[in-house]
Amino acid sequence: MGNKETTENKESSSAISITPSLTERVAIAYKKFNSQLINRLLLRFMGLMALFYLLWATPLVQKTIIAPIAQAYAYISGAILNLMGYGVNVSRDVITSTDFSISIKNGCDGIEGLAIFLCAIAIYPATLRQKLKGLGYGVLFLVVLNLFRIITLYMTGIHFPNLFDVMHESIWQILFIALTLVALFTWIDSLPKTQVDQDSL
Amino acid sequence: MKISKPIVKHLCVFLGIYFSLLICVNFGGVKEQFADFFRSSTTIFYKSFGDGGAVEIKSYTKEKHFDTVCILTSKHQKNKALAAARAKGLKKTKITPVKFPLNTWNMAGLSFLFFISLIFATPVDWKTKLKSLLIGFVILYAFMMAKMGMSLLLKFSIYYERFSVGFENKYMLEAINYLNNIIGIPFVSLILAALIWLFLCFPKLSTQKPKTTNVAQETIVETVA
Repeated sequence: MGNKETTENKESSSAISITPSLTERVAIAYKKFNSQLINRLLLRFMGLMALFYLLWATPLVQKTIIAPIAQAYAYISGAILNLMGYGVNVSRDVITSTDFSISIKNGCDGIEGLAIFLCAIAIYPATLRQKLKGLGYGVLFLVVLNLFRIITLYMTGIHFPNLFDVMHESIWQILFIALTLVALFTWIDSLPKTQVDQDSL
Repeated sequence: MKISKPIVKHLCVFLGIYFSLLICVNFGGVKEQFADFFRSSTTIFYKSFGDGGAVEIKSYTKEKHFDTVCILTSKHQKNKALAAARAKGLKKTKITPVKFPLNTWNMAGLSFLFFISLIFATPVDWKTKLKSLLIGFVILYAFMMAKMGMSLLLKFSIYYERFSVGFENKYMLEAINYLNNIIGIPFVSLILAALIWLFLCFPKLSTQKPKTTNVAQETIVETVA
């Protein structure tokens, strides 16, 4: 009798352990999720991006950082367009001529692409030297890419005005984020294959 | 730094899929269908907004850049106008709604297209692709609705005196405006789509076993004459 009871108790206790509660299941799922380095890196990346946007939207950052960057893009793009013979005038963040005008507003200044790149480099496990190298190449690439975007958008507005909206919304936005990711993956790819990299990918 | 061949290959596959879908969207009437879906979805969620607010979401053709218009009124506004008309002995009265146009494609549609292209360009099995698409669509849809809700809340709060809906408090209004400025940018939807893709597909990519070739089985021994 005593033996039978013990067996029953064992069976019932094993039955409880087979069906974990919802909190246990959530804890297991979280543990599984957190066990992968890529997930931990992505969570950190999300946190940094959230911080970036919280700062980016403040009037102080908009006035002291974002607006001067947009104006700088407008002046450089305007200078290149003038070299190409388009005869444009630049006033603050607006490139204008008698035929067409564009304004470099939020979303067209390339800041968000730069933020993606900087946040990803900041959280990725690499040495300071590797990070600085990636930063140098990446920032240069993204600045040149954004200048190219502004110039091609202006040219589209002049030569193919019907295509401007498609180029602006559906093509360049996607190309910009895709090429930012390409720059990032290229930097990660250039890092020596250490144990950390193998765990993360 | 050199771009590796696999990165170039996957970028080309992604761009191929994206541009093919973009052509279908622009010339196959998908854009209009998405705008209809957006209007019907948002109408279900926001037809009545907060305490007495009413939102009508209609098709818009006046300006080329926009496809949808939101018309805001409220129960309080109507009651106030009726009371004023009755006091003057009038049988009819007019109310002034607040209207604002939307570009539904830029606001939400583009992020769905970007996400679909990313998923299809990723070398993972079909089960993972379908599961990722399903989860991603739910998150992007929820984000689209949150974005719309935030935009409506901001508009109602700006015109609080007229509608008596939303927030009257100056600091709350500033907070909503601040958040709306962040989530209202189309690029944020694209970043969200990219993050969902990274979360859902990258761990699967890392756990996939490399393909093995049956070189041993396919090798034929030939006798050299």
